[in-house]
Amino acid sequence: MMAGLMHPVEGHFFWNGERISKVTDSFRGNIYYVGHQNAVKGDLSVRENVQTWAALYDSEMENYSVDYALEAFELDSLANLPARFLSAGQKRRLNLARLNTTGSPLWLLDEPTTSLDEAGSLCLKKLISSHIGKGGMVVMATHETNLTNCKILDLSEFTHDPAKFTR
Amino acid sequence: MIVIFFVVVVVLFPLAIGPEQKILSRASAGIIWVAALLAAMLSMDRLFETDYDDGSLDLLVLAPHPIEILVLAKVFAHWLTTGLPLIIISPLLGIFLHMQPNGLWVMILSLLLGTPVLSLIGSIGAALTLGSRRSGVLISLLILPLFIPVLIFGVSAVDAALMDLPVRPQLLLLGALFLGAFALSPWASAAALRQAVE
Repeated sequence: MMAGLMHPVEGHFFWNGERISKVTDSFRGNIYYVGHQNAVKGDLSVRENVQTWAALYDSEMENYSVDYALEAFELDSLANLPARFLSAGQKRRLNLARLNTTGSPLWLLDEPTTSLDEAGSLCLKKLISSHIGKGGMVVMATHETNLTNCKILDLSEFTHDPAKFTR
Repeated sequence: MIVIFFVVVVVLFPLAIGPEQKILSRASAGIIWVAALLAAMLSMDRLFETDYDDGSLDLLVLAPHPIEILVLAKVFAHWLTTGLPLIIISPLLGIFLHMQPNGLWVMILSLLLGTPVLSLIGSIGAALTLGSRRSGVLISLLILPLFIPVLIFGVSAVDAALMDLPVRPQLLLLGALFLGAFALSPWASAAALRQAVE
């Protein structure tokens, strides 16, 4: 919904003071979404998987930064391997490595730590704090509890009330 | 793969209706065009499906480019991998079926104008059937009727050439179909894709 894929039942989302339903095209480049699926193409190499999306997002990053992004998730040794040989955790890390190359200020992460090991989660945390340090924003849905330096919206307080949706 | 399918379907016809030169050369344009339609259909359901399955489609829709441009890029890639090889191999198949040389050129021209239309219109079907089971069959039902005009003018252009009649009107109509599909189908596909990722 925040990405503009779905329309809210009530209310609006705003980006820089404008409704996102009205500024869809200029809004879209500003987000990068990591969902449940990893959008990893098995026939492309690990590096190509990152490069393709970096190119699509018009980011002016050179090869250097693709390497840097892979390194941040310890994928540099696998860079030339076809992505279909990766494990679930490695695919997830590959998807997260793209975050750094797209140059989008707002990251929408939907349970990004799924199938990540501890080292992977640590990499993600480092990446998130460096992104925030550069003035970026991160919205993350997660089951982790020991988070620091963030606002928490506990969804269990918003229990589903069917009466609310019948008009 | 698609090319092999195309060749096999065309080769089946002489086996089924016999090797008589007259019948084959009379039916050659129709055989090749119908086989090209089926070959184009065969790969259509994979156009967006793999992206839909692995989550790439969400990201493509969210990418900072109009979805219509992405659809056009996809369609162009589809045409390069299906339409173009068919066009390249079609003269050979025309000779198999005893088509006269003056028909061959017109057939290549009509396929050049017609196969992009197949890819363009097919993309609408591929986008509409995302997420449904057995989408391949559904696409055929949705899209094959829309291919009929292309088939009619494509075949009649070749037939006209074989009878030494002017082929310009048919080719112009095919060109019109191409331009119409080029202008309209990216919008329709993009709308269907937005619906699919919602």
